[in-house]
Amino acid sequence: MIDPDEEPSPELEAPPAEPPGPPIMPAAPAADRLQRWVAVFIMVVSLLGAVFAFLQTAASNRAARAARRADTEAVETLARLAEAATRIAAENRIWELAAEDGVVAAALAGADGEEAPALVSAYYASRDALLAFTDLARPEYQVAGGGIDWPRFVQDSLAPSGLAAEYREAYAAQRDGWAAKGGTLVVVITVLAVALFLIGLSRTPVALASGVLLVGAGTALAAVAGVWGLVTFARPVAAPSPEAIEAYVEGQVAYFSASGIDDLEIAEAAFTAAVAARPDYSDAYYWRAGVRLTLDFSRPEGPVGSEGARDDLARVVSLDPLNAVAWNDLAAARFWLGDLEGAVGAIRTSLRLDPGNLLANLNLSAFLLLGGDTAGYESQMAVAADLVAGGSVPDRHLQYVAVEAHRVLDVAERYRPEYAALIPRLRADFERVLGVDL
Amino acid sequence: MVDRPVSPAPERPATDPWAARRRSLIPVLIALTSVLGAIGAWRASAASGAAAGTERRAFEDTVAAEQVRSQIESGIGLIEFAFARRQALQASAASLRAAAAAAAPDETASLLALAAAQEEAASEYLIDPEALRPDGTLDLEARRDLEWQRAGQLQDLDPDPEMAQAADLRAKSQRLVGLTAFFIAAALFLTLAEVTRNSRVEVLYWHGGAGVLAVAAVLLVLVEAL
Repeated sequence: MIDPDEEPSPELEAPPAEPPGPPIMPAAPAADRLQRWVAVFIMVVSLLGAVFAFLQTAASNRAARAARRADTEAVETLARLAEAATRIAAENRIWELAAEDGVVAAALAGADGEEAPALVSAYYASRDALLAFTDLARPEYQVAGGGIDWPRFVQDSLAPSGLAAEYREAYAAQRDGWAAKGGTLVVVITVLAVALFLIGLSRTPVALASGVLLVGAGTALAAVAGVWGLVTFARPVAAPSPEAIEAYVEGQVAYFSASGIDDLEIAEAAFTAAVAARPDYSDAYYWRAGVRLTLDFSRPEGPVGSEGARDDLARVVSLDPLNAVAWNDLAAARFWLGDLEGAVGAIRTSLRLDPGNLLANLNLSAFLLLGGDTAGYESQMAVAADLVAGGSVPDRHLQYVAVEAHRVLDVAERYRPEYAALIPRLRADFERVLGVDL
Repeated sequence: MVDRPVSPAPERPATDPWAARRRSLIPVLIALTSVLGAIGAWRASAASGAAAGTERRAFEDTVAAEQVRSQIESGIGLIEFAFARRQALQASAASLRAAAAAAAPDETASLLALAAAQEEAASEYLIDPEALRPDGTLDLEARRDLEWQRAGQLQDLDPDPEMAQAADLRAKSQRLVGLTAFFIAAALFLTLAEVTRNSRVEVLYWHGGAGVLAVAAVLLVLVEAL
């Protein structure tokens, strides 16, 4: 049998005809030292493997826990959504009844008849009684000059569902982080097993000539695996940030129900707080860019471009390089800053990811024409026309693109005199492709 | 396998009584390590399975709780609407009656008739007494709490205890897996101590194996006891 610690011999088997060789001599001091070191290395690597096995299990458990929380938040997202729908419908029903009473009372007030004043009072009394039971009558939903801030009410109602959805996403990301960490630790354990094999192999007779080399290689491999494992273990996995999520949802509520510059500024501040709390919050950067572009378009002197929006979108595509919509928006942000070349680069990336996006195809056409590439423009317009003719663009999306094209062409015509001569041609070609008047 | 005659290991003095005792203990320790390792693996597997089952129950509780909550909110919405409508009709009727009191005689009858009609319509909106305070005002929060307590009598709606228990079981399973890995390491060291012919190396392996075995065994008892 093989004695792992006997002095290796270059011969696997002694020739049967030859007389037995000289007895194995006691190990030399250097060889003895090496044997003891090998023993120590084997024990250290084995224990290291045991420790990483423990850490790998810990990572798997945390991944399972995060997955469980993500599942729970998914259920809560849908439950909160159902509650929001119920609330919106219920509050609206009461509000509609109250409004109806108010309208009838107002109509009666102008009517003839001796009983009319009594009826007016009765209807107003009914209306006032109803208004006490609807949140829509609360001061924060009243719009100056009459009416209610319906978008704000809807967004407020949907906010709990949005919160749960963001938590679900954050827990899912946490699960992915721990799962990746567990996977890396499995690799580390495998490398440690290979290192153990190499160190053990060094003590077999077949590896006489390379014994020291194998010990060195095994030890080095184990050291690398150990450092790799420790670095992997020490690398943090981001837990959901309540501060970031709450700020993000606040920003969404303010942005989606914005009725003026003040609301947009509130939204921008909220998204800024979200990215401050969580610097890799891609969605918060994306919507902050949207707010900044909207603010830029709201300038009385017309859009001058938003470096902040461009930087936010650049951050989004660095965090999520497969986000075709963000690449498209980045192209737009660069265009309004006068960076036509950068806009073409971004829109081409967007189209590589999503070739069927009509808006991106039209954007590229426009950028090519405004950049002086007439041949490229005509070729690209043909692509857009084929897309529409192919019937793959839904009517609703076609309408959305038409509205966007109309808006952008108007703004460009008014505020970008350098392109003014080319806008009529663009408008005519867009109308031809989209089949609408712009 | 290479199997060739070798001379007796010169570095292992056969006359050392402690060495002889050590060598005789090795098979016992290997057997003990194997048994404890198997127990650790079995307990880890059992804890992991129990944790998965507990997590499933926790999730079921979460789904059940959300279903109940949605049903309660739906019912609460209906109660609030009915109460609002009743209040509106009663307010309207009260206004008509006040107008009737001050109206000319020929108008009074029609206003009172209209008020009576409104009151009858209001009475059609039946409000669950459990949603009302003693003074007749609406108390939706009390109604919500009551419904929740009733539902809680019929099924478990609180996933937190299961979640906490699952977390404990996962942690236990995780520790037991780690300990099993240490038992495997101890078995490896003791086996190497058994086969090695270099007495100094054997001592290293023996102490390493026995030490890891002792620590892992104590920890196994602690993990199981806690």
